[in-house]
Amino acid sequence: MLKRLSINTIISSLLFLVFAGIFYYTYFERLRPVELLIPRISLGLLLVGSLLVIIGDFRKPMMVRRLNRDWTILPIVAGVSLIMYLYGQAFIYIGLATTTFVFLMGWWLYVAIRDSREEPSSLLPRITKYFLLAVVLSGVVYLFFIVLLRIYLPRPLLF
Amino acid sequence: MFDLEAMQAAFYVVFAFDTALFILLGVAVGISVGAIPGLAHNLPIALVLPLSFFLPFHQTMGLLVGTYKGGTYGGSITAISFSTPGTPGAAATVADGYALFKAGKGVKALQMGLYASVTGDVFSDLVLIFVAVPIGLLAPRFGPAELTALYFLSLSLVIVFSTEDPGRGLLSAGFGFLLASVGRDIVTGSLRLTFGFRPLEAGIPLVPLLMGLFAMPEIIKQMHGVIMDPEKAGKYGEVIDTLKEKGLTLKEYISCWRGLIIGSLLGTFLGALPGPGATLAAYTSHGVTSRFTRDPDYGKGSLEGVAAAEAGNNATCGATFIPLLTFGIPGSTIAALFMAALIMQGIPLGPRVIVDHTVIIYTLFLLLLVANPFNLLVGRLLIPVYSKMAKMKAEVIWPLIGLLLIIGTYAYSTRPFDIAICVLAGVLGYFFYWYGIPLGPLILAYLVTPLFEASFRQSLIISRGDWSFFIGSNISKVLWIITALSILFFLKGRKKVLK
Repeated sequence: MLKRLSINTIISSLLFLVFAGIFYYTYFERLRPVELLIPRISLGLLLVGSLLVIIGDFRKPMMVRRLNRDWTILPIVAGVSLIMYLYGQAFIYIGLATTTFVFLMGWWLYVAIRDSREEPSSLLPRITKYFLLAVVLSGVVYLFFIVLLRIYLPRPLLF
Repeated sequence: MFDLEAMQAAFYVVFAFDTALFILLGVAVGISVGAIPGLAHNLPIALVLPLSFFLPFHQTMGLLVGTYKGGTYGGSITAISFSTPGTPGAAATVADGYALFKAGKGVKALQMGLYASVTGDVFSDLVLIFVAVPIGLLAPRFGPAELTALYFLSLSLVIVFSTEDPGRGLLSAGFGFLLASVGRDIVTGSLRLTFGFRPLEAGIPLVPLLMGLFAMPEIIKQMHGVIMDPEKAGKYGEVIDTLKEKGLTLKEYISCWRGLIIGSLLGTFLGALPGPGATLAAYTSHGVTSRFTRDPDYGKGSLEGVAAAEAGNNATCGATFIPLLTFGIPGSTIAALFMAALIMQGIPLGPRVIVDHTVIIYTLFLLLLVANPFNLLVGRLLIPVYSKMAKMKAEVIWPLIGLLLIIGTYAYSTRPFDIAICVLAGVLGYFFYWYGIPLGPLILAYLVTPLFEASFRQSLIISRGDWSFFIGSNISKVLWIITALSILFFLKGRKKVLK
C-alpha cells in the first residue's frame, strides 16, 4: 500500500497530520474563541487543502504532479540559508564592509580555484580580478548603507 | 471650485528649472533605492524629509514626489530581472515578469512595467485632481461593516488564484491566514501563536516575508546550478543574447488594455482607502484581470499580467493623497510622511486645506503629474543598464543579490530578527516552489486578514453581536452581492476549464 503512495500524497498526509495536531492544540490555548477564530479558519483551510490534494491524487493518479527528485538541492537550501543568516549576524556585529568583503571573496575564491583546475595559470589573474571586485563592492555597499542611508548597527567591531 | 489664478501661480513654480532638477534627482534616487530588495521608498523619503526645513516647498515636494514615484516603479525592475521584488508592491509582477525575462523577453517586460506604471500613475493623479472631493466624501461612509464586506470581497480572490489546483490554493491561503494571525490580538492584545517567543509578539513583518518567499527560492535555484553544473549555469540571461531582443511595440501595449484599465481603476480605488496599500492593489488587479484576459500565458509569462500588476501598484500613488488632502487622514506610511512634510511647511491638513492653501495643493497636483514623464525618462534610461546587469555571470550576480537582500531586509527596520524571518520564509518559499503551491493566495490572505479581522470584530463590538449589522447599509449590500456573484462567476469558469 505504502509503495503505491506518491511523494505528493505522503507530504500532503504529513501536512494534514501536523495541522490537525495544531488545530487540536488550539483547544488547550487560554484564549477566547473569538481570538482563535482566524487561527482556526487558517488551520481549517490548511486541513481542507491538504485533504483535497490527497483526494485528487487518488481520484486521478495519472494527473499527480511530478515532483523534482534531485535531492542534491537539499544541502544547497540548507547552505544558502545558513550563509545568508550568518552574513546578517556578522555584518551587524563585525562590520558591513569587512563582512561583505569576506563573504564575497570567500565565495569567489572557491569559484576561482574550481574554474582554474583545467587552466592552472589563470588562477592568479582570476583571484586578482575577484579581489578588486570584492573591494569595490564592499566599499559601495558601505558608502550607500552606512554613510548615505545611515542604517543603525549596534557597535560593530570593525567597519 | 476651480481657481484659475491659483493654478497659474502653481504652474510658474512647477515648470521652473530648479523644480525639474529636484524631481529628476528624486526619481533617480527612488528608482535606484526601489530596485534594492527590501529597501522600500519609505526610507529615502524619510531621509529627505528634514530638508523640508531648509528648501522651498516646490523643491522639497519635487524631491519627495519624485522619490515616491520612482521608488514605486523601481521595485518592478528587479522583480522582472531577478525574481526579487524591490518593494512589496512589485511582488505581484514576479510571476509574469520573470517568466517573460527567462523566455528572452526581459526588455519587453521591463518596458511594459514602466509604461503600465506611468499609465496607472497618470490615471490616479487625474482622479486625485478632478474627483478628490467627491471620493473623499465617500470615504467616511466606509465604516467597519462596509470595510468587512470590502475585505471579504478581496479575500474571495483567493478562489481566483486557486482555480487550477484548489487543494494547493487553499494550502497557500491557509498559510497566509496563519502567518497573519501570529502576534498580538488586534482587539484584546492577547498573544497568539507566539509560543512564548518575544520577537514574534509584533507579528511577522511583511518585507522580510516577501523578500524571503520570492527572492530566496530563485537564489537557491541559481546557486544550485552554479555549484552542481557550472558549465551549464554560465551567464545568467544569456538567452537574451541569442534572441536579440526587441522592445515593446505600441500594438503590444494597446493589446494589454484590460490589465491597464483594471489595474488603474482598482489601484486608484484601493489606494484611496486607508489600509490596503500598493501590494494588495497589485495582487487584486492581477487576480481580477486573470478572469478577463484572453492571454493563455497569463500568470506564466504574460505582458498583460505585468501591465495589470504594475498599473495597480502605481495607481495607488496619486490615490493615497485623496484621504490626506480631503480629511487629513494619512491612509499609508507614505501619506503620513508627506503629511509630516506638509506640516513642516506650516500647512495644517484637513477638510479646508484645498480652500485655505489652494496654490500649495495645486502645486502638489502639478508636481504629481509632472513627475510622470521624468519617471518615464529615467526608467527608460535605466532599463538597458539593468538588462546588461542581468547578463553578468551567475556566480557573480546571485551571491551579490543574496547579500543585498539581507542588508536591505535589515535596513528596512534594523531588527536582526527580520533576517531570520527572511531566511525561514525563503525555505518555505522553496518548499512552495518544489511542491507547486502558488504564492498569490498566501500574500493576499496575509495582507487582508488583519484588516478583515479588525473591521469584522469592530463591527461585532459596535452591533453587540448582531450579525445583521454587516448588511445594514446599501454599500455593504452591494459589496456582498458582488462577492457572491464573483464567486459564482469564478466557480462557473472553473467548471468550464475542467470540462
